[in-house]
Amino acid sequence: MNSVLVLEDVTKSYGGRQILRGISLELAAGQILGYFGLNGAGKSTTNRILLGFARPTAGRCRLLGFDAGDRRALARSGYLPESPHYHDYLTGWEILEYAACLYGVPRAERTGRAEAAAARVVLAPEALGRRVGTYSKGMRQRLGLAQALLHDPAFLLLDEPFTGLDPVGRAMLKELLRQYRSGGGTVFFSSHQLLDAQEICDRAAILHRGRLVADASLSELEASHPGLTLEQIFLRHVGGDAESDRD
Amino acid sequence: MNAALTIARFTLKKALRERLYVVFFIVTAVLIGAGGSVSFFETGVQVKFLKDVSMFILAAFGFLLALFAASDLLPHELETRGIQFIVSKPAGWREVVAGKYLALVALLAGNLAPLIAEMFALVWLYSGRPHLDMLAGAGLVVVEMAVYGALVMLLSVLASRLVTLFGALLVYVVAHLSDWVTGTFLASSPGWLRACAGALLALSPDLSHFDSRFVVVHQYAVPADFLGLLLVYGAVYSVAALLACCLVLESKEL
Repeated sequence: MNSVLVLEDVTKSYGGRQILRGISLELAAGQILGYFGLNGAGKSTTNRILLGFARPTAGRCRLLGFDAGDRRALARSGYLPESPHYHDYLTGWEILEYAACLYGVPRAERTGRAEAAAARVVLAPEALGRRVGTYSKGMRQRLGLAQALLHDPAFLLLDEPFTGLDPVGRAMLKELLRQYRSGGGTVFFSSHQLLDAQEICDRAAILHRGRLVADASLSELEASHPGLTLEQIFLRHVGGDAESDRD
Repeated sequence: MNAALTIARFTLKKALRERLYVVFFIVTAVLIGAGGSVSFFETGVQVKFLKDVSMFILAAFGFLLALFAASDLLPHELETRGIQFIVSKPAGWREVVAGKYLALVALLAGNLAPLIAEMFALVWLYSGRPHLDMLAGAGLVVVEMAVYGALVMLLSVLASRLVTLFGALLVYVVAHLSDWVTGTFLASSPGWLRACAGALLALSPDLSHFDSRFVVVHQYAVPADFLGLLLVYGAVYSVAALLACCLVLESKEL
């Protein structure tokens, strides 16, 4: 398998508390993996390890053939954080230009790339001319997607990408991810919006109390749980432990 | 280096749009102008008075700008997680720190240079001739604040905002009074206080050498070799502080 992402027995502890317990998974190129779990299950910690923001206590994480956090991997990745925060005094165009510069997009291509990325997430040029401080949550989310896409990355890491998007925005995002996958792109996203996720992901990994309790293709999960939706399958795996995971 | 310059450019752009700094700048410019409008003295004394007041206002403005801007640059990004926008891209902590520091230096220079020009113009107006000798002395304020800003940036990644502001204020005072602290204050102090103050002095930059008010007021020229030494000292101290800042950030997890 041509793996874009490999997690090998990744463990992460904070102050003696184990957040991740031996997570292993692989993601092939051209796939969309949905990463699901209750609040506090360890999804964000996994994302942080993938980007090199945090170091695993044990185990290994590789992205695009490099160790997690390696600049060569980051240069070919796009990241949408859960709550994108930008300088409120900068305009949408400036944020896209900022991202393009950091990704090393040649000067001559920056405007074109920014326009194309904005068009993909349906952000109007008039809106991009405004300061980000005036943006709604949905517009920030669209801007976050645009800045993650503008350098044509091979891998997308999206943390709660449906948050803040209205139904039109969610439909746009699903279509965008389908197109991205058909172009050979690979997506790893975490989400609580299982109904939306079910429409786009090829694989689902369910994290519970720091352990992977399910990791299979959507068709395999559906075959092993006939008649159940992804949300119902998820609830089967995590049971009624919602509160216990939040402490 | 490109990433550092990019970070500096957009950080500066953002800072220049913050109303607080603009208001701050206007108030300082008005204060220097007001100093020039006071004419109680004969011409020679008036010029000295104007230089003295202007240099004091310039130093105070530079200090406040360096203190507040430098103490906010990195903690704000870390607290809001806005830093993830940068470090999720191929830009490491060294570029982040270098970029933020370059933005700080540009902010200081961009704010202080027009004020120095205003001061220079007023002195010219009153004395009837340009006092070119004062430019080097006034420029030292920019260098001093750039060195101080590097230290404040380091403090800001080590401690909370309040502790940073208090600590930076203490360092500023001690760093300007190093001779008095070692010579007079500590001579009769208990051992533990001598040790603490000694450690603080050892880590602080010696800012007393940058104090050019006397030189500017009395029209002494700053010797070129002394100026060169100060620039080298400032550069070495700043680089050391920024490298320490990088080490602290590299050890952190986001």
